[in-house]
Amino acid sequence: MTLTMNDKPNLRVLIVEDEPGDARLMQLALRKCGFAIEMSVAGDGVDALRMLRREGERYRLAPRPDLILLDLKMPGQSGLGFLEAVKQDECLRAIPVVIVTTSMLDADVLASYRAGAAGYVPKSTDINEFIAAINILGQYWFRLARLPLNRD
Amino acid sequence: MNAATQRLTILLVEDEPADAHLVKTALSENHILADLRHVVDGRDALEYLRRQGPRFAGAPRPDLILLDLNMPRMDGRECLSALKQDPHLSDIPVVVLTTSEVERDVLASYTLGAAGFITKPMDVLKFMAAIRDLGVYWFDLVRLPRQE
Amino acid sequence: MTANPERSTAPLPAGDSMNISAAADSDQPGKYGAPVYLALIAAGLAGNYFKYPIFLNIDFLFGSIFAMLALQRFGLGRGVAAAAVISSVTYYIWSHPYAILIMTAELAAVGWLTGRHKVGLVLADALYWLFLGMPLAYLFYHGVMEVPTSNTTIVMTKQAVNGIANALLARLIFTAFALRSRTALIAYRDLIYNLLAFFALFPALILLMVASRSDFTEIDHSVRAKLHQNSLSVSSRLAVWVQNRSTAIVKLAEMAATLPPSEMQARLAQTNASDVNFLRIGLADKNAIMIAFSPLVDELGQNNIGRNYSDRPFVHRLKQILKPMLSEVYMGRVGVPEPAVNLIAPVLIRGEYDGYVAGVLSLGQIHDYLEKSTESDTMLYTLLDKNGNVILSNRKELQMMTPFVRGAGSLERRDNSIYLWMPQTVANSARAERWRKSFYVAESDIGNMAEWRLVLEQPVAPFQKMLSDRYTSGLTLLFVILLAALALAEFLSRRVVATTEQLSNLTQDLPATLEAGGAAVLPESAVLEMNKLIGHFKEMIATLAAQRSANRQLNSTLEQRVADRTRELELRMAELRRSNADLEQFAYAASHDMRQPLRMISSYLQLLEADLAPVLTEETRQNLLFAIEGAKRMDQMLAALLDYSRIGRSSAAMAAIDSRAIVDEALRYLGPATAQAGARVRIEGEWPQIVASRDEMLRLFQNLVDNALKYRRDEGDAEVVVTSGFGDGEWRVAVHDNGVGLLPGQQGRLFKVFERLQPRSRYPGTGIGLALCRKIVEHHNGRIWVESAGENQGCTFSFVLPMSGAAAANSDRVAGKAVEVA
Repeated sequence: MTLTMNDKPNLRVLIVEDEPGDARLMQLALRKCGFAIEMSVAGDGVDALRMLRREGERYRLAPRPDLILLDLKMPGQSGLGFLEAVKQDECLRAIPVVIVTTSMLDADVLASYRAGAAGYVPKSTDINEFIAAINILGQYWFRLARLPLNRD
Repeated sequence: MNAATQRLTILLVEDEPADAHLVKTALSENHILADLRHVVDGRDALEYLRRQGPRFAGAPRPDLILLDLNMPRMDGRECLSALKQDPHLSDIPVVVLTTSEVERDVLASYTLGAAGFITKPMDVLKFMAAIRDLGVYWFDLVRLPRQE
Repeated sequence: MTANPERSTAPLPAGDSMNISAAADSDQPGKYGAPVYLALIAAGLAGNYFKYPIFLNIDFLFGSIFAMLALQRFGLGRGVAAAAVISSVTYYIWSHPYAILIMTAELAAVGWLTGRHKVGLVLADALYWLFLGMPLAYLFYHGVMEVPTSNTTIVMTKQAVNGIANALLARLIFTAFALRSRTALIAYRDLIYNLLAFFALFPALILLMVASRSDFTEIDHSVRAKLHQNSLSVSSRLAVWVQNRSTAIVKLAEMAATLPPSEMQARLAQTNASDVNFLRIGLADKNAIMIAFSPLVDELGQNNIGRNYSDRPFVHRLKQILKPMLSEVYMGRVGVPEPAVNLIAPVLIRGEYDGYVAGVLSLGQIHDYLEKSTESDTMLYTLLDKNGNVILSNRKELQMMTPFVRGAGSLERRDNSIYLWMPQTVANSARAERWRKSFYVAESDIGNMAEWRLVLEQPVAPFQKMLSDRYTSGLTLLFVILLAALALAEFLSRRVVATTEQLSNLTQDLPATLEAGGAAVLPESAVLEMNKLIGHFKEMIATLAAQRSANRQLNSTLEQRVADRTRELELRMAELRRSNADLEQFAYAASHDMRQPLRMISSYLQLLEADLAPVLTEETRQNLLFAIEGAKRMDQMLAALLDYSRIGRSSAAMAAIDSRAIVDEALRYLGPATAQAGARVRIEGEWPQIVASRDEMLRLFQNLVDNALKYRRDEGDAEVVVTSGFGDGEWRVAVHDNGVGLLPGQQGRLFKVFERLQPRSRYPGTGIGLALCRKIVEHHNGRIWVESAGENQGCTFSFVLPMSGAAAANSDRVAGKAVEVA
């Protein structure tokens, strides 16, 4: 679903989140804030990487996202592992990755920034707070910052 | 709320004094209580961050770096690259704040590990708003890595 | 001079171990120092003055006893000084200064030997006399004062014996005193040595002295007796001889009264010829002219008849006395003039003086007789006329007709008839020498009218020599006995204490020896008491060894037990740690993971509420709200649990921090809450540097103050005071509020997890805040408690944390400033 609010082509956001409930909340929040974006969801890091690299039949035509919102706690490959893989991939490293997670541990924060995260947003239990946070996030990434637009 | 309770430090790497002043004004107008440190080029920035020389002996480590791209001696790209390769400094988020809006610069910045690329708005009010939004994101929303 | 007091148990040094009193430094005499010192000197002077003459004016002095006592009590310097003063009396009694030198040197040498070389006092004294004292005495007496060898020998020997005996006495006196008053330790060996020496020496000495004294008296007496005897017999013999001549002359005088001179001539010649004792006989008329003479002619051929002798003093005297008498010595005129004596008797006609008969005596017989009598006894005889001129003498310096002069001297009466003549005192000569030149003198009168005097003199010299030879050998023997006694005493004393010393050495390091596993070899002894003692020691050692091994046994058992227990404990600890880790992990995981689904519930319920708002009734809306509320609360509890479980784990890095900065920061965080509560928060007291976890401390203060603010009373201003103090290794903080307080009995429940005392509707919160505080405080090894005066009377939450010494020392003492935080 795309809501066009300006002339720019819609920005694409990849949500990497294993909990479908959380993924849905994220999408709801983004929509509630009124950002004209296209969203896709990957349930884990491996899947997300395939999607990014357009590996396999399923993801052959997957669009390249302009921003990745990443949860850290994921089964299989942890969020940090995924982040590192992305930042080490020549083709993918220019995509900013913002961590959105429940963990507030300093170690996680530091590790994320070291690995190249472009932000670390704690997930709030309160839905309204969460929406407000997503709003600020959106303001920064969709309105203020310029994103590299690689449309290929 | 981080900024209100913890004084954060911003390192502004900007060769144009007018622009630097503008940033300072914008911060204060938006009631962002940050300790703004200013260096004029990339080399100074690195020296500052590594606390080299008598000038920067006790320099506080910044929580955020605002980096201009086009600077003498060492420009922003080189500086950014050097920063992100230094394991002691790589965790400080760097936001490129520049006049350039060249796509190539955008891509290059993000490739080098910038955590944002902001083209300085011409309009001063928009500039103020931009700084506001910057502050809100980095100081209100996002958790920053703890200083040691 | 200080010798080490015998406090150590090191083996005793050679000799009879001299122990100078511990109190006697050479610089610090004891408490009664000066008076005692002076008393010793006074006693010494008296001891020398009241000497004991043993024989021939050879005296035994006692002064050096006191000098030796002074040495032992007060050390070398004072001892020598005392000796010098005390021996000065000898100058007075013996008239020479050499004794002072010898005695002072004695003290110096003895002091040096006993101090520096730890030689026993008596032994040191013996050494001194042997090697220095006696040679010095020889030098002075024989060399300087020229006392003959025999006398010198006796003096040397006597001084040595005297000195050693005095030293022995001094040592024994000092020992007795030290033992009584415990001012010094006396070696047993020393004591035995001295006692042995004493009991060997003194009886012998006393015997010798007594014997020699009686010897002397006896011999002296016998010499005088003999002299007297001689004197009597010789004088009586002379008297007889005189009498015989007198009879002859008197007879002639009687005949001359009736017979004419021509007749007398023949009688004179007859008598002269018949008695060889007459040289010539003459008959003089009352004008003292010779009318008859035999021989008629002298050897010069001169006629003897008609010689006039009226000038002779004896003629004049005779006329007065009118009795036969002996004349004085005069110069004869007959023949070659030479000294002569005669016997004259008056011629009395009807009681009237009518001339005299004089017979010039030949002294040959007397001379021979006297010679013979005195020869064997080396006696000197002198026959004097009434003018004191010599008639006959075997004194070499005396000529006939010269006065009898002995020289400067004094004559003392000894008993009835014997005198002692002593030459005058010559400076720096020995008294004995003076004595040697003395004579015993016996005088007797010859002649009816004591016209002549016979002086018999017995020189002391040979007698003295004999005595001195005898005494020398006696003293020498005594000296040898003394040396032998010292040597024997040395040997015996060592033997006697040998066993004791062995025992002492053995038991010196007994515990260490036993510890090292060495065996204790005890000496054997045949002495009853020693044997018993050794037996007891053996038992003691056996007991000690047994106890030692029992101890070791016990120790090793204990060690084993301790090791076992420790292992057990370690296992338990490991278990506990594991289980703790498990629990924490569980708590963390549970609370963290549980929050996720809860968030889903909460978030979607809220979304539902928002989305369904148009169609919800008030009631259904309320239903939803309660559900949302529940979920929220659960999430809060989980978050709190998460926090609680984190204490001591992730945020627990201990570092040195400024407690004041922490509390200030906590209050900054609570700024909005404080403002909202309209409360005043004060900080007071002294805030130290502490070693703690910064995050946890921050949390602690935040919680406590937040709590204080939360539970304020409805009316009135809320006031919170945070007080700090430190000392005695502790940091104490109290947070006092004037809020709702506690009911009695509620304190115990406060610090439990999720425990609440007030309804949630009035005071929000999970009820974990204080439990968290407790966990933080306990993580820092402290304790926390609450006090409250009662409902609505506020609470005081206090905690105490131990402070390390370093932290305490580094704490800046901040003056207690009250800070208002509005």
